[in-house]
Amino acid sequence: MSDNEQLMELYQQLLVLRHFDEFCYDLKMKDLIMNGFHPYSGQEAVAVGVCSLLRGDDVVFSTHRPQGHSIAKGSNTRAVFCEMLGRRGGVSQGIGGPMQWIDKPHNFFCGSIVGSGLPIAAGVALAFKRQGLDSIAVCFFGDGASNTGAFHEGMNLAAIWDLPVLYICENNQYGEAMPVQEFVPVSRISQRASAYGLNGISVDGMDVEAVLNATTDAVAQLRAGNGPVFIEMITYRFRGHYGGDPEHTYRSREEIAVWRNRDPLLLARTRLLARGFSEETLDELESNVRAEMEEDMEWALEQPFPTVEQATDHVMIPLGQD
Amino acid sequence: MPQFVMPMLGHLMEEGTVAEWRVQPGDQVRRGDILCEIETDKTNVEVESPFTGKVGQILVAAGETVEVGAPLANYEAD
Amino acid sequence: MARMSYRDAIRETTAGELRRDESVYLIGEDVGRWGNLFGASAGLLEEFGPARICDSPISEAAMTGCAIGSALYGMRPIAEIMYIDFITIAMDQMINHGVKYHQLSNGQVRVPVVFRTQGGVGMRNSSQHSQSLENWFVNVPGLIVAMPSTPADLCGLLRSAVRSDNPVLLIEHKSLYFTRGEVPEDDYTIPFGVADIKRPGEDVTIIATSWMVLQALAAAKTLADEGISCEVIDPRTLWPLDKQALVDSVKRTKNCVVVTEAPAEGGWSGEAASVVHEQCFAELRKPVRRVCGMRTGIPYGTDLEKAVVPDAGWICDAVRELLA
Repeated sequence: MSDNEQLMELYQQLLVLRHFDEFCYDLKMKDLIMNGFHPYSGQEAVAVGVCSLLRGDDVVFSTHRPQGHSIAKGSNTRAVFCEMLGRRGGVSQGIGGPMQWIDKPHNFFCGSIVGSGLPIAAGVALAFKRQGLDSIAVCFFGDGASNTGAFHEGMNLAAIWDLPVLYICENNQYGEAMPVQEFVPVSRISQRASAYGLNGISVDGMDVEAVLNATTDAVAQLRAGNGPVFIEMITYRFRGHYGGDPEHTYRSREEIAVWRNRDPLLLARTRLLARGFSEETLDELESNVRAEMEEDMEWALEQPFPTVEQATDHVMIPLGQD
Repeated sequence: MPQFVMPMLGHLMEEGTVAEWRVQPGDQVRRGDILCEIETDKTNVEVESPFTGKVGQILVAAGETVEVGAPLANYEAD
Repeated sequence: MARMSYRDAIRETTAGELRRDESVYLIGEDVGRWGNLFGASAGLLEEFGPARICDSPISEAAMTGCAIGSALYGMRPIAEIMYIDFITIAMDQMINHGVKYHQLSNGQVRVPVVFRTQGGVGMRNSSQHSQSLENWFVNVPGLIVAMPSTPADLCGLLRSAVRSDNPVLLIEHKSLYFTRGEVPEDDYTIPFGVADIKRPGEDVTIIATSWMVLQALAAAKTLADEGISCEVIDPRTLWPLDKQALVDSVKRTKNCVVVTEAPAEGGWSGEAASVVHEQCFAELRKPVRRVCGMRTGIPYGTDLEKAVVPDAGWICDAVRELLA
């Protein structure tokens, strides 16, 4: 595949994530998705760049802001819309909701306790290592997670046992409403990697090709059996911590405008134009993606809600069948 | 006369076996010298002399098992 | 039948499961070199090697998270929390993640993990190493909570735990490790949710858990000399709870005492008492009596720690008052 074709595919994925997210934002504003919905707009280059390098058998752990990672890992957008809306047909049958679902066929997990994925991802990697597989575990987490005990415990375990985990810190500049420089005393979160004997790097997380390049080496290293890797992706959350949060309490319109100038979709599009793709081609691609997302959303809105009986399905495997 | 007793070596240890004596009656020992090896249900541990002085009578022969706290040997203190 | 200590029953059963199934592994603090603080895994490192007997850093969240993650992908870990008091560090991993994954995956994911730990008094370990914290876990939907009181029950329940695809918390008691009992030599399992009558009797049902079962049996012996016949029932798993066994017994004896080392307030002892009240109201001569640990931190020192948890004397007093 040429670089051009590859960038075009990445761009299409960026569009899918953005339009999916924007439709979810609208649904949240109509109170069809829970108030605490966490938009991913602005951070798409990270999910798309990293996940484009993964195989189906690699495992991804994500956060309370999981939709981008899940779709980039292969989850069906209709199923994710359904989950957001709490409908049957959702990846977790509408039981999990917008920040905790499991898509086993795509080896995707997420959860809404900040930092908790790090030790679990290490455990998945341990299983792969014991079984002699070259599959890897990828754990996305935010800047805020880097202050938790689970971050330290998980990263340390992965490092002392050389486990094939790719730790991706998405530094989107805020832990809820608190600016990262107020709660992290180092200028780069990647500096924290040195505490585990790892070479942490920081990458421009708005540039999908930069993400891809940095991650390519990391994935190769992990498949070769060489320990965990820590990459900080410098990125930005275009919308609030949750959709419609009181943003003016922690950041200015000017700041948002500066980062929007580095919109990952805009960067990719500019590069595609420079490489000879026409405005018309890119516009048509975007309108097709948007139409497809709208169609998926409309389909999801037609799906039934889970039955009351389903609320208690699968709390555990019935005794005797376990 | 000071006595050397079966030490409490682990969690919930109730008894121990003298695996081997490293000293004989009449030997001069310093605090910290190895007196004997004790076998518990978990492992073998070398046990140091808690006293400086001369080893007197050995009360429990190698191979015998006694309760924690039982006297193992007498000392003649300096 | 072989006579062995509770501690040795843990080791023999663990070794048996490790031999039976290659995916089983043990992870915990000093389970390898030291063979566990009490010798409950002594010699296993030599037989199975460090890939299956994993000495973990003192890092309970990492250890339990690692166990959970590996259980998602084909392994069957036994994660040992050295003291139940340390489980607070691991609870997010266990409760928010390990126990939730089956439901969140709509049944597609199974988490066959065993959390083994030990609690209770008996070693002068004071307030952060002696607690009875089982009540917290009975409140977690999806988690099986087992508390075997004898070497034979330990073997059967630990085998069931390792072989179950549900997450299981198996709580041992430090004062039980060097108690001994007869253990059948075959590869038996004990299903979860099946109580055991440890001593049949006619006048009063004593429902007791873990080390308190031994206290209840001692009390029953004393009371027998006074002409009081006690039935001692050990539920063996707090959840699932064998309600029928409790109810059947109390309908016969018409009197009931519930004994736990954990404090009564907000606890499983209240759950057991409620089951009896709800289903045996007509038969009960008097309300159920509870004999439970005091609502206090466990103090240092042999006499003080004994003073704050029930013993046979407390149980005898409660039974005498109930039957008076």
